[in-house]
Amino acid sequence: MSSSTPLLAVDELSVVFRGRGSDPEEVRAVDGVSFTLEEGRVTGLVGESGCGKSVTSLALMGLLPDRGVSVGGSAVMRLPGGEADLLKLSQRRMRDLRGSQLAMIFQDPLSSLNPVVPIGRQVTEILRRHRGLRGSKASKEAADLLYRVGIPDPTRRLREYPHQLSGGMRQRALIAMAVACRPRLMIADEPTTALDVTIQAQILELLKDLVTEEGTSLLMITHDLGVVAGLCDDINVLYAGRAVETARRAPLFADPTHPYTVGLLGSIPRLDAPRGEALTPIRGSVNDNIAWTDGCAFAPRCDHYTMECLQGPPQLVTAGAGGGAAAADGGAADRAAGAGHAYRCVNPVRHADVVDRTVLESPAVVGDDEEAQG
Amino acid sequence: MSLLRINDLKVHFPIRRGVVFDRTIGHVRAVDGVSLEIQEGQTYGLVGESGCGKTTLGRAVLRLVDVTEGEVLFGGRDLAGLDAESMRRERRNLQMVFQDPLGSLNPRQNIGSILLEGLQTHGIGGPDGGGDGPGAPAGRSERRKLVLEDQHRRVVDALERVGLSSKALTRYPHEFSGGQRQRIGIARALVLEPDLIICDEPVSALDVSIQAQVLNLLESLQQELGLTYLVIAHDLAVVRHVSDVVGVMYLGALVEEASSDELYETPMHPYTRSLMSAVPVPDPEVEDARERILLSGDLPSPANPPSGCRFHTRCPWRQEELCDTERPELRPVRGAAEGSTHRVACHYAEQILAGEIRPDEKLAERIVHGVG
Repeated sequence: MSSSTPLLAVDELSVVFRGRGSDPEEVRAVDGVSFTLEEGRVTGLVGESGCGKSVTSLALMGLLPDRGVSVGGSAVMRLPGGEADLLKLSQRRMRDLRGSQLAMIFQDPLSSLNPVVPIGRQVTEILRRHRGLRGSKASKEAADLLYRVGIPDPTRRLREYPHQLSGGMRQRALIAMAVACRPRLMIADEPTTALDVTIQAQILELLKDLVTEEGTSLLMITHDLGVVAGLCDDINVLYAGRAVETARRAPLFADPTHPYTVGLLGSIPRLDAPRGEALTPIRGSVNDNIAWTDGCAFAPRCDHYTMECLQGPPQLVTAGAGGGAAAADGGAADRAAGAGHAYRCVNPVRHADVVDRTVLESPAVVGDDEEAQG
Repeated sequence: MSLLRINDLKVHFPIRRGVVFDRTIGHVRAVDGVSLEIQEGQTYGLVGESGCGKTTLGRAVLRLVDVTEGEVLFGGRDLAGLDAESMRRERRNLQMVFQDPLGSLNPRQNIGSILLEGLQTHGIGGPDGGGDGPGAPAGRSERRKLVLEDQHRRVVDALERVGLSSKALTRYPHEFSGGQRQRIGIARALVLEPDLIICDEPVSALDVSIQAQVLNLLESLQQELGLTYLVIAHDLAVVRHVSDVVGVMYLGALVEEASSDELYETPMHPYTRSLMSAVPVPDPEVEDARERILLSGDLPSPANPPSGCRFHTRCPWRQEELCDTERPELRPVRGAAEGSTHRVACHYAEQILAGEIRPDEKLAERIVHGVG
């Protein structure tokens, strides 16, 4: 199902917030993130607060403010009229694309809906803007949409205001608005964080169905590795604005390689783990990192670090290049060019049970082109 | 020995309407008849979704909300019947750690003064452990100095226990990260040397790596100091990790209670089963293989709870008549192993477990069977 070019190829995306007035210090929120999105697949961006995952999504949607921000890199998307770099398009063109080709689902459904406008008007607005539907035709389509995302009695709900809907229902309404024009790319920024687990399970199931049925590409942004394990096909783990490990779903969890990924997995209490097993948290907090230019940003919190870690920024290297376990798995799958399993670390965590790890001693250093292949 | 015992606790909030005449037109039954017991030195985990009344229950124990009916026996005394002043004194032994670490610390007080406040209001500290009393030195200023020194020592001690240095004393809450603030919240509870700490969503506002630090801290404090915890959380995995006994709440009542391992191995109540099946596990193999019971719809309003079993409107295993009309009691599980304390509030729990009753596929929005 994969075509020769990906739907969206993000290459070395960076977002820098400039300081103002007396505090001219720059903040590099996103510092060279690359990934590709393909139709019918779910790609996850995982990380803790401050790792740049939300800023990445805002940059792709063109929702960052004009002033005080500089966005670098490229995000080339396959559009009906040929390819275009989302980061360089005009405001007017982006407005046309948002809603019709790109859609976004935000974390907090209450604050992303207008509280003084009925749900119906908010849903039909998008139909009017992008599909030119009006009047009863638009409201019939809106009711259909709400029904499709599992809202019972949609015609009544269309007349109601956001506060009259429950949290799960609001999130469904937002998803209905996002899928109204059958966008090719959907970005979901922590779509279930504000919801209860049973409602979260409903929403995740709905998103999964949409991806399978419509062939939409979903970029899932979350901090919850459990959600990722159930939903995402490809996963990028971010730390301090850079991807520290990218892999397909199975190898990432079976064989986490970057100490940060290992630390995250060790921090989560698992429902199915034997009780009394102590958690192994990561030391310190996100504030304790150093700039990527000086070395590995994670080094101050890392249990595996050596002096090598502080000598310049670590490169993203492919695990087992040339026949390792992870690469073989990636090659066997449906992806034309398996980007496989890559990590940004000079002292990766090695698993004694994986024999093929010896190939890591001569890792192929992959530079800018590592994700943009195919 | 049980440290805290709650008997048929009810907390109802009146719904008022009207501009001139303040009429009460109904009640929100936030907590509607909960009985539970917490043993000394143990952790009781209370789990449920938002709106199930778990936080209200915790606040009612501390009398931060008024108890409508029922008893809260703490070391033999009924807290629900105490007057305000006796309750204030009693709170030295019952402390609370709140969910939002920034919101629960006064931004204009430094950490030293936040931690001292409790000691001062309860008159703790000094050569004999109390502010004044027999055996205290004669000179007033000398005594005052000793009290202050002792209080300072206690504050520093509490800070060190939670892994912060005494440098924190002169700093303000905004200077700390989320995890550190939660540690300060824990230190504030610890400094009074309470017997019971109620932790209301202690880690849900924190990042995963910090969550684990705080959970480990709570655990080691319990081992060192012999604390008893009531942990209130929505995250079943967190609750299972820290608790000895877990109670599952739905719409103001306990639907199931069991030891942490037993609840995980054999969840009996349909709600517990669906809750467990909804918790994501960070392992793709487990995620692909397991059965998911998706509940249809949302939580009914606690102002107008369904008749009979509160869960019957969403229950895939619902049976005619009995479930709609009779509210099931929290009762011991029939045929449970010797010494088991497993209790469940479902008429048909045993039959469901044995597979004698099949779920109604229409009512469960979908039961997704694993493919692996």
